[in-house]
Parts: sequence; structure tokens; C-alpha cells
Amino acid sequence: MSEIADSPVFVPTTLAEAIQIVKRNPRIPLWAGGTWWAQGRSTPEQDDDQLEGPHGAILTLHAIRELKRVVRSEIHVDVGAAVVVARLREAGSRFLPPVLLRALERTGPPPVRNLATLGGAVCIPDQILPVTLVLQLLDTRLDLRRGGRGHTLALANFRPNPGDILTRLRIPLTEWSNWSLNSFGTIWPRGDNSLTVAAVAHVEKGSVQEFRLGLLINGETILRLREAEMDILGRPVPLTERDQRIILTPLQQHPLYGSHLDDLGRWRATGAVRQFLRRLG
Amino acid sequence: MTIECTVNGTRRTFECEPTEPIWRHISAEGAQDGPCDGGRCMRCTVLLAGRPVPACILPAYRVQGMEVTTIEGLGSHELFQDIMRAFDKVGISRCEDVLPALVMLAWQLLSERGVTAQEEIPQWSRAFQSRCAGPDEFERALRLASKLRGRRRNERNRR
Repeated sequence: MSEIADSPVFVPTTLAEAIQIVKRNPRIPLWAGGTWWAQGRSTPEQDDDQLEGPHGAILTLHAIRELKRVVRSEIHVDVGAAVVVARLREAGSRFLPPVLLRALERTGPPPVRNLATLGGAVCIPDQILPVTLVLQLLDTRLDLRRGGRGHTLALANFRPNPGDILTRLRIPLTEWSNWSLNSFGTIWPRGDNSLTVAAVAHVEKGSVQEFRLGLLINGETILRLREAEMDILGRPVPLTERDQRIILTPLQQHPLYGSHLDDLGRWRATGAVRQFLRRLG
Repeated sequence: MTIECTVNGTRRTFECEPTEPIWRHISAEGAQDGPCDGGRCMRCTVLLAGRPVPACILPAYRVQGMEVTTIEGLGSHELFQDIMRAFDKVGISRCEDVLPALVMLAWQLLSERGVTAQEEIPQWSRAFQSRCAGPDEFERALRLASKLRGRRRNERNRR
């Protein structure tokens, strides 16, 4: 196990070492790229208790090789939690879904993407990035390790807990015939009144076979319409005005749509979704 | 904590907190004092292992044993001179704002992938909003720098 001389920074090189350290210090903060943690670090307002564990200790995952692998199969791709976003964008340009590649580009400007990791992007405590929304739409599952045991759960159900190490993201390589990712306002870093509308669909034999839609409002709330997504399946394309209302009406009636979006946001959200529905087929 | 790293080819040692951003300690070497502290303005961009990263959000422990290069450290390289010539020709001003970031992005694109990255140039150039360089200017400068680099190589081969 490596520890930088006279400092409480643990730099394990294997996952087993990292698990041992977390077992001994369950509340130790995990760092990887450090891009979120380090923001505003030179301003005194930031709460240092959140940044560092007891005696200022942190555990950094950036040197663990097992967490930096990208393994691809026919049906999914396994991405290690410490894979750097820029590297994944480059390596995955031939096999990752285009909507995910576009979302990766919105994980900060290029120099930040050279540091940030995918695992870190989904674990940021106070902000949801467009990449998290897109990974949710793609039905990404997460592998977590706690102590010696591992468990898997859907990204939509994931809440970072002390003592858990996120090791891998399993992204299904489903074929999508249509996709769209629209971002409005300042997405990175989080700005007020930001909105991301992401949608993927698969159209085959003249009808909608698969449809998923998500809105990320102000970088803090995700709006999904799962029932409406099911209702639109099997509808012939191009969608009629009536079929489009299967999605648009529940969207406009959703409590978050009314409470979290201003007039411009509502107009943008409806416009982006309507445009996607019209283009299907 | 004692951090040892190489800044612009010179071995450096400094005392700091492990999670402290590194730019304070290397700013004497030329990294611009970024006012944002959040990786937004890119004035403090440095090369870490050959890739541009914002030094204001780069934790000190990450540079332990690594090589950090500021914009001054690139000054003597031929590629840097090609990039600056291209910037001058296109009309990108030499202001402090995002120049380090633009130069280092150009450096990464040209040194890692040469001219094969043409389709990625717009995506990179639109990452910065600057009064000094619009996306189109940066794109033109990159293409010109890659041409200048190719010409320099050809001349060297002829000799």
C-alpha cells in the first residue's frame, strides 16, 4: 500500500488495498480526479470537513489500474470508475452511443475532462451532470464494493454512501436509431436556470420500439416520464399530433415542470421534446 | 506534506496541504493566477503528463513525482513557436485570458494526433468563450500551425 510521505493521502495501486483502507476508515472521502473537490478550495467558505476525513486523510483512486479499464463486449461496455473522461471520449468514439459521447463533452471544458473521471462525475454530491442523465437513460448499472462484498444497482437508485467504492459502470450498447441532447444555460459549473433535455429512441419496422426521455433541471433534479415512455411504444412513425401528446401532456402536467422551470425553461423543454418527437421516423 | 515534482524541467520541492490546488506553488514559474478557482477561466492551465489541466483545481498530491509544464516551459520548443506564429497570423491576441489554455490545447492536439484530429477541432475550440479568440479563429490557427509544423518537418528531412 502506498502512502505519500508524511501525509494522510492514501494512494492504493490495487482495489484490494483500497478496500482494506476503507474498511479501517469507513468515512474516508474518496477522490479520483479531484476536479469537484478542489473547486473553490482556496476560498475559506468551503467546509473542509466534507473534503477530508479524520486527520485530513483522503483516499485517491487514480492509481488503481483495475479501475482504469474499459472492457467491451457485444452487448455492453464496462468502464472502470477511475477512467478519465477525456480518455473515454477518445477510446469510445467508435463504440459508445453518440448521445453518451456528446454528454461526455459536456463534463466541463477539455482541460477539466483531462482530470475528471466518469465515476467521479456520477458521484458529485451537489450536482447532477448531463452525463449522469444520459447514463440513466441508457440503463447503466453500477458495481459497488463495500468491505469484501460487491453489489450491483441501477444508476437511478444510486446514492453515494460512505464506505462504498464505485468500481465499474456497465453501459448497455443498445442500438438507438434516434437521439437528442439539448443543453440550455450554464451546465458546467452548475448555473441557475440550466436545463438539459435528453432523449433516445429506437424505431424499427415503422413503429417506436424503444423510447426514453429525461430532463435535468438546474443540475439538481431529473424528470422522467416512465409511464408515458411505455405508452408510446408501438406507435407508428411519423408520430401524429395525438401520439405526440402521449409524451407532451404528462410532461406539461408534471409537478416539477411547473415548479422548477420558468416560462423560458418550459418553452425550451416543450420545444426540444416536440422537435425530437417530430423527427422520429 | 512535502511534494516533489518537476516544474519546467527543474526539480522542485514544496510544503503544502495534499488537497491544496497546486497553482499557488508553481505560479512563480509562470502559471497565471486564475481568478476563478473553479477550472472555468483556464488562465492557469498547465501540462500534466503532456495534457492540459487547470492548475487551480489540480490537487497537490496529484503532481507528486510528475512533470508539470507551464506556458513558459514550452517557450523553447519548435511546436510552440509554430503555434504562436499561427496565432499571430490569424489574429489571436496575446492576452493573458485564455492564451495558456488555447496554446496548450493546440499543443495537445498537434503533438498527440497531428493533423488527423480535424473533425475534433470545432468541438475543442467551442469549449472556450473568449474575447480574444473565437472558435473559428482557433480552428484556423490550429490548421495553420499544423501546416507550419509539417513544412518545418519537410525542410528538416530535405536537409
